[in-house]
Amino acid sequence: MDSKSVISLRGITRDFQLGAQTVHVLKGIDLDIQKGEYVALMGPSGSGKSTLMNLLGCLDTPTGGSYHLAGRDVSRMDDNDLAAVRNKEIGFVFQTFNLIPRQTALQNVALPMVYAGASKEVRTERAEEVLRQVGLEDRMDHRPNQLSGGQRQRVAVARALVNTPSMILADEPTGNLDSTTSVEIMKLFDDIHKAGNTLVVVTHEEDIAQHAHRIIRLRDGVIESDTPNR
Amino acid sequence: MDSQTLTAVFKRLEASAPVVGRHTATQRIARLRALKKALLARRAEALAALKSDLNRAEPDTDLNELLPVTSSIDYVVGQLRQWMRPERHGLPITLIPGRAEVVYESKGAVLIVSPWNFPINLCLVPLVYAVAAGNSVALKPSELSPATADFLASLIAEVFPPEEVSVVLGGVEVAVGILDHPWNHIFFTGSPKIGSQVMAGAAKYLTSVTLELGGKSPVFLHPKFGPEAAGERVGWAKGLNAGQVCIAPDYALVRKDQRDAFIEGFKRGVVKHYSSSPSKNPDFCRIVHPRHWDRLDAWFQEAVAGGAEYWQVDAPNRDTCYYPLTIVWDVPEHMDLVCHEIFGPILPVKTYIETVDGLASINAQSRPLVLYLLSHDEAWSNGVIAETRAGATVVNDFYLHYMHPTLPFGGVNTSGIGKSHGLWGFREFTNARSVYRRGRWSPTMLLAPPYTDWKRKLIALVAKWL
Repeated sequence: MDSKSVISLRGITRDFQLGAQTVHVLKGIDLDIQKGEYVALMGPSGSGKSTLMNLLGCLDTPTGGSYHLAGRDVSRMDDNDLAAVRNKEIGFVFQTFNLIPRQTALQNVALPMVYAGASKEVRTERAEEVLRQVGLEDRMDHRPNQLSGGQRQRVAVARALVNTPSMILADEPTGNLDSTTSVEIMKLFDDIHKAGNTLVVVTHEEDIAQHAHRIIRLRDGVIESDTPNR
Repeated sequence: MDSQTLTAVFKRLEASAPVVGRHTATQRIARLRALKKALLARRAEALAALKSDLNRAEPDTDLNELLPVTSSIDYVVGQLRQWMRPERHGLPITLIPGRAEVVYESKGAVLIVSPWNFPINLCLVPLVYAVAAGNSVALKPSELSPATADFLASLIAEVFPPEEVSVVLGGVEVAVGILDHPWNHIFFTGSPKIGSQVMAGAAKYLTSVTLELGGKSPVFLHPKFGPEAAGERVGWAKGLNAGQVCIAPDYALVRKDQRDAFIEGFKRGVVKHYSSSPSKNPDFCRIVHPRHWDRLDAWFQEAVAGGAEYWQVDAPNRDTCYYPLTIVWDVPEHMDLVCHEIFGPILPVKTYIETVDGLASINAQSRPLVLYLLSHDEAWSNGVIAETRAGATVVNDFYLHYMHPTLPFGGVNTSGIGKSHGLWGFREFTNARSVYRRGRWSPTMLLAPPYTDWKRKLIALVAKWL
């Protein structure tokens, strides 16, 4: 394992039981992602892309192999430990934003820090900082329905950043946005990458993947190609 | 019915209310038994009416319309004498000597406004409690289930004299007209939007209300339950009455990694219980009215245009008012499917990562009529129940709290006001009147002015020690 790796997968397999039949969805994945990398994960439906994303996001554990995240072996952890790792190490960005409608942008962004046990002053200060970072300094008191689609996704990105995670994991982040707004959000991803964050973007859209500096393509449960994209 | 006829109905019921209120338990029980007997004798008409209004399968009508009415009558008949008995209460020392009790007296002339989705059940079950409580009653069934409304009018006329129970038939103007009278209580079942209008109308006369409403009832899935099995059960539950049930699961909240398996389970459940082409299944319900069909389809099309993905079991057909069971995911958050009660066979799936996120998402919506949990982890279920508010919660099944005779049924805030069923239903239609009796001698006079020196000392002692 490379000591600079945020993510290190070795021989990862994931089987699912479908009645009497065992389906091998991931058939041995080796993968290292370094700190500060910007990676796109692509693959057709049935390639194992979603299963790999769930493993990377610590929502699922592998059938075989090992997964080190930020130096810790998370492949054999129980649910409580996994939840703690998710909260500390991973910032999720959803296609549907998943914001709380009755809370302001600031409250939405501060929410993961409530679970992390930060004091109110610390939470507010940090939430304001990341909202400035995503260009929403004048929208902090707005609720989601007072924001455009692009602004809502910015709030979601700020929420993902708030706990300074080891990795941002974005699942089809522009799937519910029009093409102009998608470009705007990908520009934001470029910026947060430049600020030193590690990004993994799961997408099926080639032009979204082209923003990444490395593209990993999955097919039939194995990595089909892993190429730099500068 | 014109406004003069409606006023005459109100006046007639208002005039007879004191007489009906004096009915003994035996008299009330006789009326309820007559209602049960007539309903069972005319079962074939009931089945035909529901078939005509909603394409309802006969077993569904037996189970969801007739059985709730007959079992409510059986239960009430067994309990009524006990419920009607004045309730004796003990006395604090300051009120001795005396006697205190609560008398559950009839409210008077009451109005029941019922919806089209379970047109017999939701009309006659409240009637059972209203009659048990000794009220004279006006029933206003929905005009959207016309065959059943006609059946109810004929059934009620057979069982009750018009000064005890009257049915008023008609559309919105009749509903508005009949509401605009000083009723002693209004029991309304329907949407939160109309419920709010009913309450505003009742406010004019300070009439008390029971509002059985609805809202978005979530299904919150624990990650260890098994997403396929969960999807399969929800597929069945969403198909009942084509999702046109106030306590239907509205949307599912599933952990992100389990969403696809849940969707597969839903598909399997739909095919298993309703076949791969329910449009040809004579037992699958239709949407009540083209207006509702258009609403459902517009919400669905909006979501798809906004980037949502979906699966439909077969094709919608407006001509037959058929809408297929549909599951949608990745629906943008501000869209109608996510913001409003669906009341149809469409299930949006939302995802969460941590339980607390799921809780925050539930608590961000109006308080639901039911919060369904699928979970074998009791501590988790208890935690979710403690952190949320809902009219009811069912764990690992659907709808069954409705069938329990002594559990209160009703919502909270936007999902409803007041409770029905069992003792709760009886009390909803009564006034809990406090009666305190002194004997011939009252010590109160010892404390009455003028305040002489010794009275002041006595009052000081009473205030300090009693």
